[in-house]
Amino acid sequence: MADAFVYDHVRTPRGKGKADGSLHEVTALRLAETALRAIATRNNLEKGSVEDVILGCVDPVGEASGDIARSAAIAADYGFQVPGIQINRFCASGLDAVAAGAAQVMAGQKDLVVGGGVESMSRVGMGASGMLPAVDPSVAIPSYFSPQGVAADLIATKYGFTRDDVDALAVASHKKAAAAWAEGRFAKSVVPVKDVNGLTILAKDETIRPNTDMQTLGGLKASFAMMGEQGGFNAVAIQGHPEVEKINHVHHAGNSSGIVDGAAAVLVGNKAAGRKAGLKPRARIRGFATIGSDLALVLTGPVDVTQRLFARTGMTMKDIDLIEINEAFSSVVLRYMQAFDIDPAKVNVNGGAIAMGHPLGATGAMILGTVIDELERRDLNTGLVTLCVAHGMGTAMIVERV
Amino acid sequence: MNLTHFRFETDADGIALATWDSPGKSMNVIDQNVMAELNQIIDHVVATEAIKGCVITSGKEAFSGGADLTMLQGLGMEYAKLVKTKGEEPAMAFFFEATARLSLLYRKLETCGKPFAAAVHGTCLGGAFELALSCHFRILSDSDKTRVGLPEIKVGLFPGAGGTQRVARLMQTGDALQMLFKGDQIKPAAARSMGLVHAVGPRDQIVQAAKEWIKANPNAKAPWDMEGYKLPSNKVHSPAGMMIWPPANAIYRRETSDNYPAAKAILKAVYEGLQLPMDLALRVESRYFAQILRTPEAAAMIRSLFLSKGELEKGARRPADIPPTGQGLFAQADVRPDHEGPCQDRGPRCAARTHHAIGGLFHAQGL
Ligand SMILES: CC(C)(COP(=O)(O)OP(=O)(O)OC[C@H]1O[C@@H](n2cnc3c(N)ncnc32)[C@H](O)[C@@H]1OP(=O)(O)O)[C@@H](O)C(=O)NCCC(=O)NCCS
Repeated sequence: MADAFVYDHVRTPRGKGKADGSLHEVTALRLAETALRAIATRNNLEKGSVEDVILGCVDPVGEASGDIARSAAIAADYGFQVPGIQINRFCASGLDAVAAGAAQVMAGQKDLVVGGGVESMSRVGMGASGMLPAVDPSVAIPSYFSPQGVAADLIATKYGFTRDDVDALAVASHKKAAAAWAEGRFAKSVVPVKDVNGLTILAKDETIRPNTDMQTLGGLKASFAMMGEQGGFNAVAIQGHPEVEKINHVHHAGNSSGIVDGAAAVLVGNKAAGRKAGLKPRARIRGFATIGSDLALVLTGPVDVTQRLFARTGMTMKDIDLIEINEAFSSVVLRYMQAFDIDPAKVNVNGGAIAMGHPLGATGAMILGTVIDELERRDLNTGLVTLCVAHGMGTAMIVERV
Repeated sequence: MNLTHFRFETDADGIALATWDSPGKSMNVIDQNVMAELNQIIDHVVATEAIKGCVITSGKEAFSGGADLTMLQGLGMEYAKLVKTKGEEPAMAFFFEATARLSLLYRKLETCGKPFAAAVHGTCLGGAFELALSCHFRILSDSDKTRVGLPEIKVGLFPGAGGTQRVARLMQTGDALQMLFKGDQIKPAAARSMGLVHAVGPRDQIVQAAKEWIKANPNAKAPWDMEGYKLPSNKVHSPAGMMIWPPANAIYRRETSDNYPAAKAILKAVYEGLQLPMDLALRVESRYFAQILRTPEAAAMIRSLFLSKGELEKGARRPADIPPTGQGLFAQADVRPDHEGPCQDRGPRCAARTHHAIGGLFHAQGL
């Protein structure tokens, strides 16, 4: 089996995903194009040399419809020979896109690919493509479907995380993200989104609030209490986990992942392709896995998939230097650290989606990039990236520096 | 026509009146013979140029209690027999054809090209209300005795002759699901405001009003068969649908712990049916109907809550020597009115509460 290497990665800054967000004026296509163009330009990729562009996009409708990956490759001037495919595994799509590309490289069927993702949550809107698992009784009922916020509250309740616990993690996320920006830790990988004249529209993540503290968070109202009660979802959650008597609604706007716009691209290839393009590999993809996990908990997939990936690679948590687990909701991260008894100092060291936002289809590729940059900066070796996924799934990948 | 369950006459304006009055019965019920006669009536109305349309009413104090559940039970037994003699597939084909027949008959009425109206006084439930729903115009008497509704869910079934589809096309999806889940008997004024019927009037005027309507609407079609018809709650897969379906599925589980196949089948039939034109929607409903009819839950509920209800209430099979236990429905249902003796529970206080809940004939006894 061939090795798949990460040669480079870029991401756009994340803009607030509302009408007053800086990237609201920018189309999803343009976001994806920005990332694709940047990675091709700075690596001097020969036109037509990329064999596939695989982009995660969770709501591929409207301006993100019709296989946006192919459109973005054309917009980024990759050459008509370069095909594209858009995939969707909800929040892990960006990481799954990289994994799909890597798998083809490992299998010897492609030499050089770009994986990544794009989501314009301000323009297309979360849920714009519908949500079959919530709607069709034939799947919603056996799935114990509940909205992710309610599931996050179930996780907090079941595993004993209090409002203070989840808020503290959110405070830390903002502090770490602010510090990372202040120290220029993202500088290597964030490419500004520019207008057609080259004027910068946004160069920095837009939703970080360095002054976040327990007091201000304490004042925010739980976001999913009414939905859980009136929509019947609390009852569904409890039927899935009958040892829970009552759902403790602890998540709110300040400790849930932010809704943002953004895109990312990761250049993956085999050794020969890198040599041919004159590139030095930055990391080797050691392994990746996906899994289906408890349906009522919805968001505990990272635990299960990490176990699967450890079994597959013969590794343990001791082999991992840094972890990026997507901060979909505070309790997801807390449960992950609890399950493996992880030192918090190894986890999301530069903050996460609570501070910087979670552009659904792109995040997986973004945090893969974050961990590679940070391994390099700290001169460490091995990183693990994982994301929880709607409808009870998880994806994880282990990378090591070469 | 050769009719025994209906009287049929046509007035000077060419409007027919079919008066349902099954001989020798206190209540009209739908069985194979009634279905055959209804079929004849539809054919006759369509074929006779002088007939402009037809009003269906009842010659009894009630309109009808709906389908004959023993007929459905009989079909189930026939199916079981066929499984043994002919195998699963042919048996199922027979069963599906037989259980979909009423729905197809009503659809034939609805699309026959001439207006049909239902003039309803008294109880009109289940398959009988589904008949009314397939008519182009429905008027109820304002009598205190008049009730419409689809109570099938109460015996573990669901309306399988178009009820789920027509109700879900007459009112907001959330309201339709509630109505189908509850199986309530609905009074005339409420039925009117829910949009289930078009009018309410004095008992002695409903037939005339129905005839007037037919005169004024010679080319009647159901709303869902007309160009430009829009679902009351918009499309299933739409932002509006996202407000309806996820909570509907969750609330189903909350209320039933997913132990109620008929209620789940209603959800599925409405969800799938609303995405289809009427004929296919009805076929989907029929498929779920045939499935639910064969569930042990439905068989047990029909037996206990309908066929054997009288015996149950008399405590016919209750062992005489076991005293009632517990304070809930269980104990109350368990009690034979003529039984005197102790009620027991895990302690004297519980037993006293049991005693209180059940009523006077018992004395408390702790275990
Ligand atoms: C939780 C959620 C519903 C909140 O949405 P929202 O109410 O629109 O959130 P907003 O960003 O407008 O924030 C609401 C309030 O909280 C405040 N707030 C948010 N973070 C804060 C912080 N760190 N410090 C202080 N205040 C904060 C905002 O200022 C705002 O107050 P305002 O209304 O006075 O301006 C939404 O963010 C969400 O759904 N997140 C999860 C996304 C998701 O499911 N992703 C996919 C699965 S992981």
